[in-house]
Amino acid sequence: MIEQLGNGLLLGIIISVASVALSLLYGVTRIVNFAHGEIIALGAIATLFLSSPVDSRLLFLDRFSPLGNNFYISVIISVIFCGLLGGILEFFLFRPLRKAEVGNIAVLVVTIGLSLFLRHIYMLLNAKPQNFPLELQRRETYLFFDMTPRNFRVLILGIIVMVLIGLFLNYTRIGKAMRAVRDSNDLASVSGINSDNIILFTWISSSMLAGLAGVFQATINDVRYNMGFLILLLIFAGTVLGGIGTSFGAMVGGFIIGIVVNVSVGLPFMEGHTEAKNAVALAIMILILLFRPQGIFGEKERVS
Amino acid sequence: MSNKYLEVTNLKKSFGGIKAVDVESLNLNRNELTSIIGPNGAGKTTFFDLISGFQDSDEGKVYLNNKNISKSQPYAIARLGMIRTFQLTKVFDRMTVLENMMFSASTVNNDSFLKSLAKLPSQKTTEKKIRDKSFEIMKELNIDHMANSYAREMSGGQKKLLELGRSIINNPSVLLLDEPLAGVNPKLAEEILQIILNLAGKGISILMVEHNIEAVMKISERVIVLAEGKVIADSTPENIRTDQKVIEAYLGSENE
Repeated sequence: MIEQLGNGLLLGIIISVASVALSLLYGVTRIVNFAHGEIIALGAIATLFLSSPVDSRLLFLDRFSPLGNNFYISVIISVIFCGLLGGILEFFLFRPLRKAEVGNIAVLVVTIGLSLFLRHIYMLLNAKPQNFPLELQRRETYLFFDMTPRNFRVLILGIIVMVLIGLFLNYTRIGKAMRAVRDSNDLASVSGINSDNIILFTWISSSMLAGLAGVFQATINDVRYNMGFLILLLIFAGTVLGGIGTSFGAMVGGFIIGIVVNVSVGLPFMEGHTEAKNAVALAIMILILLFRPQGIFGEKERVS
Repeated sequence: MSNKYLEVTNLKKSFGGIKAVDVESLNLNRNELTSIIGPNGAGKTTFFDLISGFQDSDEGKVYLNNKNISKSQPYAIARLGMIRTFQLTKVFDRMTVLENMMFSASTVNNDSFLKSLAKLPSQKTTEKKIRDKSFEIMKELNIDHMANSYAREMSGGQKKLLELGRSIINNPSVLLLDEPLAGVNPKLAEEILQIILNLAGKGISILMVEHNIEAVMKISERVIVLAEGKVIADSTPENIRTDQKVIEAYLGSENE
């Protein structure tokens, strides 16, 4: 089981980053974003495209190599690109829907449609799983788990990102404004907050985090057109487990889900059934919610 | 400066075929404690929503201190110094009481993103000032013992007090109070009335919507009666009590 722990930590940090992003967006906008998975995939796909040598790319774009294939610059540009997409989606799609007072369920269906649409575009572009152009590395032992130095760096970077998000939300003016809009859009407005700007900022930052989670996921595994969709259920589970709308809860919930998914592979009754590993994590989520409906870190509210 | 802080002309809002608000002309005077009363569905809250930017009017103009705010967003109106409260009390649930106060205090300064990342010495002094002022107001409102509790843990009455507190921390020139006494016990209602009178005494122009007629008549200098979106009476409390139209539309005959 210990050997699965390393993989669990890695998946945990990825789900965790993606869950925080989803939770922030839900908290501020009340949108359950099914297209979150496609923004995750975009981070990985854009990085692959910008950093790969020509022959591993799409046929009709294979002469285009603007960045000289530098991996880290590719990651940065891809993450920014994801943020841009998030901003465009908010500005041209979700803001008009909000102003027209379209209901939450209708908006949810829009995000499902968007998810399908983007996923199929990615599929048309390239349906084959591909790896980032990174050299193979040998596993090394860190404390009591094994992983490649690169994956270890992903883990550390993921933890740093989490800490930064926490500091950002609690100590910066714009982070506090996001928390304010999350609690009450109207009240934030009468406190002088331009909530449209805060929502735009939330879309951009949530999408950038999603893109980064995608890069992490693809670094550890590979790039697939449906890679985001495949982990979307786990991300939802992490968000719900931690307590909907609490960022810290999403961090911890995502982490737990990621670890449980991988550690459950080592359980005796799972032998030969590793493809069912998500089931254990989701069953645990359901069990916890039965006993704590508000999630681990969700708080009951005083009704008055 | 003219004596009027708010000028409303020909303000109209319909929902479907129903005219919710249809106010031809209404001027509110500085430092005057004015109340709006009227039956349910008279358009009181819609009127508040229209002048505070939460709803767009179909037509008409609203001037706040001679500035046209007819098309302004709520946050912009708040920054101009006209702060409103809500019928269903709103607080930032997941912030502490102190955070609620401090957040409302600092936003209007609107400092930049970069500045908020690096805490400069000047900011620390501002923050300390805001903290001191928050405590001062919380003490006046008798909620300072809850400073570090989450706002969601407060009772309904305490939330009303917090809402008042965060409304006044930025020294607004105008307060719009939407049913400040709704759902509050008689003793607390008495306290809130006293607070409102104190605020009026400090030179804040107050416009409130309230159903507690006794309270309205006791503290208001001017009473405006709305019915079916229209102003049917606008006078001193004494005159309103005896106004035949108002008695028919709202007060009922037992008030005579």
